[in-house]
Parts: sequence; C-alpha cells; structure tokens
Amino acid sequence: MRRYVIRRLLALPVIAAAVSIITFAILRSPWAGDPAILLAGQGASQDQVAGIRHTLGLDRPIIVQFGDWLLHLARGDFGKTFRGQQPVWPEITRRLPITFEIMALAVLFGTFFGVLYGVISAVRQNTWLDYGLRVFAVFGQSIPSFFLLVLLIVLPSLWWHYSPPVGGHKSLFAHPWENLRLYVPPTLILAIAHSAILMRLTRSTLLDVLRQDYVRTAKSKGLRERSVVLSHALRNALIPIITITGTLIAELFFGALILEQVFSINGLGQFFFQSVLARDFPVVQFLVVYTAGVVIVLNLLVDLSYVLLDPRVRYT
Amino acid sequence: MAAISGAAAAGELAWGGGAWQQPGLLRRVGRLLRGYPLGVFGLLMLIGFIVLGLFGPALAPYDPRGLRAGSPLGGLSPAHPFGLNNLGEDLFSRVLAGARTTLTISGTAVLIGGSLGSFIGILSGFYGRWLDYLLQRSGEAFAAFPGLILYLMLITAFGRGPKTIVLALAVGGLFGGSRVLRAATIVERHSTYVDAARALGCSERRVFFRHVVPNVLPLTVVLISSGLGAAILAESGLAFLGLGVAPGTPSWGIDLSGANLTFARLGHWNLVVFPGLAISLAVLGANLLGDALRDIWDPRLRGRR
Amino acid sequence: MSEQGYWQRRTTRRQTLRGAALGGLGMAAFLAGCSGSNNNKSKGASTTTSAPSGGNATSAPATQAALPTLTVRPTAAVDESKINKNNVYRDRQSQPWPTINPYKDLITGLTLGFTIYDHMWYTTKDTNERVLFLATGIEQPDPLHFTVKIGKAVFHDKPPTSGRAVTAADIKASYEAAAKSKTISNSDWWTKTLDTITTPDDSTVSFTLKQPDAWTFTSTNAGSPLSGSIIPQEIATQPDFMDKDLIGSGRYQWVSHENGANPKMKRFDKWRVAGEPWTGGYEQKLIQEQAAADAAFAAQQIDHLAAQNKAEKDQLVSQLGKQVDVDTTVTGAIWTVETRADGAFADPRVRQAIYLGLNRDEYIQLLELGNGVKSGPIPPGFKTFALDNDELTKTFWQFDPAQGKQLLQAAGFDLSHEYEIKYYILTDKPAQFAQIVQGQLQKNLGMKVKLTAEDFGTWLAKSLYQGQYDGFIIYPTLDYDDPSSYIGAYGKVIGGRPNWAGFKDDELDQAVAAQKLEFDDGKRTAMLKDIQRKAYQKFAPFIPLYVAFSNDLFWSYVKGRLVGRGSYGLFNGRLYIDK
Repeated sequence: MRRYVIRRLLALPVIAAAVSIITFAILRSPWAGDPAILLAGQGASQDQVAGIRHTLGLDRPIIVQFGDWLLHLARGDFGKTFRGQQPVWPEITRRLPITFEIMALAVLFGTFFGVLYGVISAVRQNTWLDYGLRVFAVFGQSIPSFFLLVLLIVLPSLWWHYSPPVGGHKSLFAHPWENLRLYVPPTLILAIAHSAILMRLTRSTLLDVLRQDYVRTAKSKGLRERSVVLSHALRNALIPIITITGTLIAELFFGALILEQVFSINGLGQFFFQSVLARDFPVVQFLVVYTAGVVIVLNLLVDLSYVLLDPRVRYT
Repeated sequence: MAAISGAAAAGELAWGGGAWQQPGLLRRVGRLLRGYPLGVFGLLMLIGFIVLGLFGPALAPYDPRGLRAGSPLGGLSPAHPFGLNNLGEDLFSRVLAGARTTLTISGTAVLIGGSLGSFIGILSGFYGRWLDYLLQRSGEAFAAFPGLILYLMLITAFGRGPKTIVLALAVGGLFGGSRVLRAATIVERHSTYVDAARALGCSERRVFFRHVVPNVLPLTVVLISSGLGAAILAESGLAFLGLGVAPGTPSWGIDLSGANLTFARLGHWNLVVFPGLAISLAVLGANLLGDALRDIWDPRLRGRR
Repeated sequence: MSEQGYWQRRTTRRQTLRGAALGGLGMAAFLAGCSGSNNNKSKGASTTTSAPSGGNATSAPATQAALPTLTVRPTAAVDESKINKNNVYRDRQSQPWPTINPYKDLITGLTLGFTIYDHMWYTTKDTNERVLFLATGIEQPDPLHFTVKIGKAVFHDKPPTSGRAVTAADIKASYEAAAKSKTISNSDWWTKTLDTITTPDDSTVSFTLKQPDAWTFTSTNAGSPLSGSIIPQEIATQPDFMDKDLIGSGRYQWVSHENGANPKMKRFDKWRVAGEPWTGGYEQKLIQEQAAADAAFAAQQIDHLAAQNKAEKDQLVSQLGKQVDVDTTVTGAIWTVETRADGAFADPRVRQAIYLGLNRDEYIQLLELGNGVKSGPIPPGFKTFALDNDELTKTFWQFDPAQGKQLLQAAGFDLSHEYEIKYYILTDKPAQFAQIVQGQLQKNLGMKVKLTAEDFGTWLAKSLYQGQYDGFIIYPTLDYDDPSSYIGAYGKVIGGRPNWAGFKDDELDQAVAAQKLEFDDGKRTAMLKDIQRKAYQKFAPFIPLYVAFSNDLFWSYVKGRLVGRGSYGLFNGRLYIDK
C-alpha cells in the first residue's frame, strides 16, 4: 500500500517537469505569438518592440530562459508578469480565494443537492417526486451552464431592471452578505450540471444497493428506514460518488472560468485565460505546473479513498 | 456474465441451444422501442438535428450570413421567427445552419476520441503492468494539462479552424474513455469464462479478440453516444469564449456571445435564447440516446464511471 | 436483471416522458408570456419592436450624421463663490490596472497623466494650438534646439519631495527616464530625435535634438500626457518607487487603491492654478460589466459613463430623460481596408476599383447604428488637417460599383481566384466589419473573397507587420494624437518595417519625410493635405472608411465640461459637481 502511494507520488515531479518543459517550449516557440508585440501594441515600431523584448528577457536562447526560470523557481521566485511587471505570486494569491470560493460553492451545492435528490428519488422511487427530479436531472445535464449564466444576466435586467451588485469582490469574512449575494446565484447554476450527474448516479447506485439482501435483513431487524438508507446503503454508494466528484472538480475549473468571464469577476480563471491570450508567459507557466500538480494529487486522493471506503479494495 | 445479462435485457436468450426460436427482427425492434421510449425520443431528436445539419443551409429561408435580410435587431415576426441580429442576419437561418457546424465538429471529435480512447483502454486493461502504467500515467499527464493550454498549443501548431477543435475535443475526451474501457477490460479479464477459455488452451490473442473484445466493444458505442452530448457542450463552450470557429460562422455558441450578448442585455433576449435552446435540445437528444444505449448494453455501467 | 425490474423500468420511463413533455410545454408558455411583456416594457429604441414584414433590405440613408461641435457647458458665466468645490467626481474603471506605475502600463499612465502629474504644455488636436501649462514660454531658435521657461509649482506634500518646488532638474530627470523606459512603448521621437537636455538654471530647460521634427511638440512626442509627465527627480531615477506610491505636481494627489482597482485621488490645494480644481477629488469605481455600469450610472453611483454603442446610449437616455447629458465626440480610429500594392493589385486601376466598390454608409448603419461619419486618411476630428467633405466626396468617398467592375475588367483582374480578408479576433467588431467588406466586394465587384480569422498576436506580428495576407486585411487605426501618424502608412518604411502593403511610391515617401521638416504651420498643413490628395491619385492601398462616434453620458450636475477637444478636455480644472 505504501509502495503504491510512493509509486504514484513519484509520478508527480516527473509529470510536473514534463508539463513545464512542454509548455515552455510551446509558448516560446516561433509560432506561439510574440508577447513583446502584444505589449507594445499596434503602431509600435520595430525598435520599441525589440526594446520590450529585451526587458522581458525574451531575446536569450530558450535553454538560458528555462534555466533562469528554474533557478528562480528553486528560490521561490515565480517571476514577474509581462503585463505590468508585477510579481506573479501575489497576483495569483489575490485571485485564488475568489476562484476557490466559486469552485467550493459549486462543488458543495452540486454534491449536496445531487446526493439529496438522488436519495429522495431512490427512496421514493416511481412517485411524481422521482419523475420530477429525474426530468430535472436530464435537463440539467443538457442545458449548457454558460447559457443559463447568460440568462441569469439577461432576464433579470429585462424583467426587473435588476443588475448584479456593483463593486467587485467582497471578502466572505468581511462582508458575508454581499459576498454570498454575488456568488451564490451563479454557482448554483454551475452546480446544476454537477448535481444532475450526481443525482442520477446516486439514485441508480442506491437502487442497486437497496435491493441487496443485507438491506432486507437490516429492515427486517426493525431498523428505521432512514438509518438503513443513510448508514448502510449510502456508504456503499460513496465510491462512485467520490470518483465522479473528483472528475467533476477538474472540469469545474473550466466552468469557473466561464462564470468569471460572463460575470466579469476578477478571479484566477479569468486571469489565466487573459494571460494565455496575452502570452503572459510567467503566469501561464506557473499556473500550468500548479494545476497539473493539483489534478494529480486529486486523482491520487480519490483512488486512495477507495481503500478507506471499501475494505475489499487493496493496492499492491 | 456481462454478455448474458446484456443479452437478457434486450429480450433475447443468448444460449440454450436451438430449441428456442428467437423472435423476428420486427418483434425485437418493437420491444426495443417500447422498452426505451425516452431513448427513441432522443434518437429521433438527434436524427432531426442531423437532418438539419445535412440540409439546414438549404432549408434556411435566408442566407445565414446574408446581411440586412431585414431591419437589424428586428424582433420576432412571421418572416423572421427568431428575429435578426445587429447585422440584419436572420437568426432562424443561422440556427438552422449552426446545426451543421456544431454536429460535424462534435460528432467527428467523439468518434475519433471514443474509438481511440477505447483502443488505448482495452490495451491498457488487458496487458497490464508496464504498458498499463505508462498509458495511464501519460493519460493523467494529459488530463492534468489545462485544456486551454492544450488547445492553445494545438492552435499554434495547426492554426485555428474546425480541424483543430476536433483534435482538441478528441484528445480531451481520450483519457476518460480509456479509463472506462480499461476498467471493463480488467473485469472481463478476470471473469470465469476467460479462465475457462484459457484452461481450454486458447492463446492469449484468441482470448483477447474472441472473448474479451466483443464483450467490451458495446461500451465503446455507449461511450460515443454518451460523449456526444458533452462534445456538443464543449464545442459550443469554446465558441462562446471566442476560441472556436471564426466569428461570423453560424454557430450556436458564437451566437450566444459577443455582439448578440451585448444587445440581448439591452432587451433583445431572442438573440441568445434561441441558440441556447438549440444547444440544449441537441444535447438532450444525445444524452437521452446515450442513456438508453447504456441501459441496453450494461445496466451495471450506470453505477460505475 | 429480474423480470420485475425490467417491467418496472418500462413504466417509469413512460411516465418520465410525460413529465418531460409537460415540462416542455411549461417552458414554451413561459417564453411566450415573457415575450408579450417584453413588447410592452421595451424601453429601447424602436429597434425592439417587430420588424415590418417582408425581407426587403432597408436602404441606407444617403446623408450622414452631422459632426458634433465644440461646446462648453454651461455657456453662462459661473460664479465661483457659489460652487461647492468639495464634491468628488466619480468615474468608472472597467478593468483593474495591472500596476499603478505609469511607466509600466499605458492606460494607468494616461489616467495618471491627466490627474496626478503636470506637464509643460499640451498641443490640442483640433486647433493645433500649443497651450502652455507649466511652461511660460517656448523658444525655438533653430530646428535642433528649443528652450522652455517654466513657472512656479510645487510637488505634492509627501516624502521624499514634501512639497518642494518643481525645478528644471526634475523635468530633465523625467524626460530622460521616459526616454529610457522600455516597458512603455514610446514614439520614436524619444529615442531617435531627442538628444540631450540641459538645465541652465532652475526654471529653464534646454532640449537638443538629433534631427529636426516639426511634430516635436505634439502629444505623441514631447507633449505626451504620459511620457511628458513631470516626476520628481528622486523618483524618476528609481522608477520602481512608483509601484507603491505616486508623487507629482498635478491637480490631484494620490490617495489609495485596492490592488489596482478603485483608485482614489484628492484635490491638491497647492496646485499652480489657484482655486482649481473645482472638485474635492477624483475616484474611479471598478465595474467590469457593462450592464452593471449602466445600473450604477442610473443609480447615480458614478457620474460618467461611456456607452458602448448607440442602442445602449438610447436606452439610458430614454430611461433617465432630461437629467442626463450626452457628449458625442468623433473618435480618431479609422476603420480601414488595406489591400496590396503588389502582385495582382499592382495595377492602380484594380485599387481604384476597390475604392469605388466600398459603400461606407452600410458600415455606419450596421456597425454603428448610424453613430459615425465617413472619413478620409486624416479623420474629421482634425479640423485643420483633414480634407473637406466636398473634396472627399469627389475622391475617397466615391461609390460607383459599375465603374469598378469595368476597371477590374480593363486591368485583367483574375476574378476566379479566391482572395482572403484577414481580421483578428478580439471583440466582435472586426469580424462583423470583415463580413460587410466581404459582402460588398462580392456583390459590388464580383470578387471571390473568404474570411480568415486570427489571434490578435499572430495577426499583428505576421499578417499586418510582415504583410502576409492574400488580398485584404482590415483593422481600425489607433486614435492618434497628431495627424502625421496617420500618413505614416504612405512611406516605404513603417515603424522600421517595410511597408505592410508593399506600397513603394517614391513621391509619397519623400513627401511624408519632408513634412516632418517643415516648421511653418501653414505650409505643413498644406503639405499634409497634398499628401492625402496624392494618396488618392495613386490609389494607395490603405482605404479609410469611417470613424465612429463615442457617446459619453454625464449627469447634468457635472458641469464645466469641455467637449470635442479630445484629450485636452481631460486637463480640466474647472469641472465641477453642482450638488
């Protein structure tokens, strides 16, 4: 077991290195677009662009640039952004709480409602409640989240002349009400697709489990239905739920990006997107390595949770 | 056992000798239709969209890129059931023509990604050990790559355009699909009938091609049909962000963003609602079909990903 | 699977289908309901009601919108003693600044230039006057030297300057720092023309130039609101200081910001013009989303809003009525179709055909909803230098597709080859503009054209700068502050690179070089007009189409605004909030 974990973790630095090398090479290749020209803007002369390129250190050979980046990385210096020449790390840490909150809220809502509706649906199988929830699930998986987000902006302003709160991000701790007012409606929408998938998964897994003999035994022993469902059945359904949640978290970054784009929220997703478009290499590089690491660790945690949840699972 | 349970669900008996005649083809199809009305509904919707994709541009009353077909930003009217955008293009024609763009790209992507992913998954699951480790870890690495960077890399290497989008979507879905097939293959590998075949002296290769693969292959179909919905969403999502096909091309995702969004906020809700509905319905059809196929071929799959 | 389970699932699915159908009906009813209410509630311009039936294309009106005129509101004299000078002018910020350092970001530097910093002079765009600010006199004994005498002013009262006087040494340090800065792209003047600066005494600055340039004093060059900002010498020599704090000698003092968002400034009481500014401070509120900005403006949370298009402006006006003023100004970004001067387009008749085949009215109607005017090579905002409308109507603005077709035929142009229009993907506008160009070329001239979209970076570096496009490339020019930048395209070399369209005309090239050396204003103006005429005679491949209007909405209590004077209007100490 320990050897398994170590073997998986060994992959982490290898993958991180591979990812960063590939990204580095691609971004600084001749086809990837020249950040110096973009920074200089339309109308700048050849010399000005050359000057900016020199300031950014882009006229050195690729190996030198890579080595320099690695050296700085080793010292914990993540470099300076191309736009505005500001240190990368504070730019990222400033925006991280925003995106983290969006993703956390979405996962929270998605999991909560998904599992809840799944349980209700399974326990009240074939009632109107069940059908209603399943219709919701099917539609929830089909309607694109960006469509709903757009409607969230367009329709309220149309009917009630209401528009989203003004003034940007308010910290959850300092101004909880304004913060939630801004983030809850769009994250609920993001959570819809997530919860739809979870709902159907929970429902079908639970249905399978509820038919098992040991459930019948538990019921015949006189246990209340609720405790049967929650403690016995649900626990066994957890493995697939956790697996899906793991996959969905990775996809959620894309969803958070779209949300930030549509609602003009100044989070990490938007920052990343715009840095990619503007070829702001230091930012992109750092985020690529960072997200690669996060995804790998996440996958490992999910796989490890199987061991905790199902004693039959063993890794050699 | 998967072979047997799958067959049973479809209303057939797969073994038991010749004493029992299989019901006629028409009967079997009929039972299928009655058993899975939602799936049929989904299939019909999808076929509808495919027809739209094939003939849409011809059916459209106006040229989807024809400027000033009516007064710009005109509202709903009998001549323009969905209204007009700010260049005076008829939205109804654009939605019809958009079907072709979206379905072609997502369909191709999912076919390529699904088959390639299945192939990798089967190999990985069957041969195990170092091949499995290599394929799975590299798959993880690929998956760890933020999709946006991957897409950007592909754009810089191959230029913008539908081909690049297809490639990006196919590659993006590769890993997930391979994991599913790998898991199924592993299960099959350990099942009793495979042991029996081996005990009988079948070579590994025969076991692989004659026993494991046919039982696992239906999963590929399921993968492709379930993946279609996700591919359509991804393609329109990319178009929405401005990273998809060139602006101006009739595409549902593009019509949901940009100038249309600006004017929708000023009151022209029709500009975004109809393309959005089109995407939703197409994905709905694909999802319903995918679910039904999944139920037919392996009900147990619903509990596993 | 048990038999029972199979039948169970069959019935449940049927019922789910029913449920789905009901849901679908519900949604349809919902949408039908809200479309009805929409037509009643629609406040926008008449465009939201249903269009007249039939697919007839409405014809574009032949007249074009009138040019906005210069106004100062209110026109009556103002009694200074009655003004409440403590109100803060609240503006909107649409993106957070990546940094507050004016030398590291263009938008930041410009905004700060108009507020925190002072300048020696400013050259107005429309009348080409040199308005003196800190300078009390400028003398130019010969083309390579000029001397500026400055008046009295003090820096903001913060360490390290702590309210000391502005001296010539500070100006020298600022200009040298600006010339050296590589993170802000400056015009070539700063590196190729500016030579040395000396300070004979505390209030005299002497400039020596490497080569004569008649446009030295414009806001592209030495009069730049960004690079010409007067920065204390202690800071100019260590520009990174400005990452944290800002000290200048302008109307406002820097107060605070939140990571580049919501900058706040307050009045500098010791500003060199006594009694000004007439506001207690200047603030920007970060509102990234346009709809939210509309709402904030309607709620009087901000005093000024730049509407993105005419429909938005109309809607806000109809919503808010008479209490809102609209300042319409002509922008200087000319939407341009650039073709080629080599290959199939080397024959000037081909290029003339293209001139004749583009209908400017359609762009103004479709892209701007009528909110724009046709333009020549120098936009109409430069009243002194632009050609007049009559002349332009006979030359650049001629629309005669029939003649165009004949010319193409006479020149033997290959109509079977499919050319491309290259445009970049940033906002929707370039794509829509390209679409209209394609439509017009196809319909009016019978050309076969396809659209090619590119990333802005690739487009700029390869397609535009290196001239890699097969046929056409479209873009809006920048909103330049001086007219000479617009005619730079006619030279053989543009910004150090060979002419993008392959246009190599000796006569125009020499004319473009010569006008820089002509110091007599009258003669130079005539030269510029002559260059524009020659550009038409030779059918230069840069075809100017139109410029859009910009719509700025102000609450009517924002008084004392200078309209129509370009950036000069932003150096306004007499703007006040009458509340």
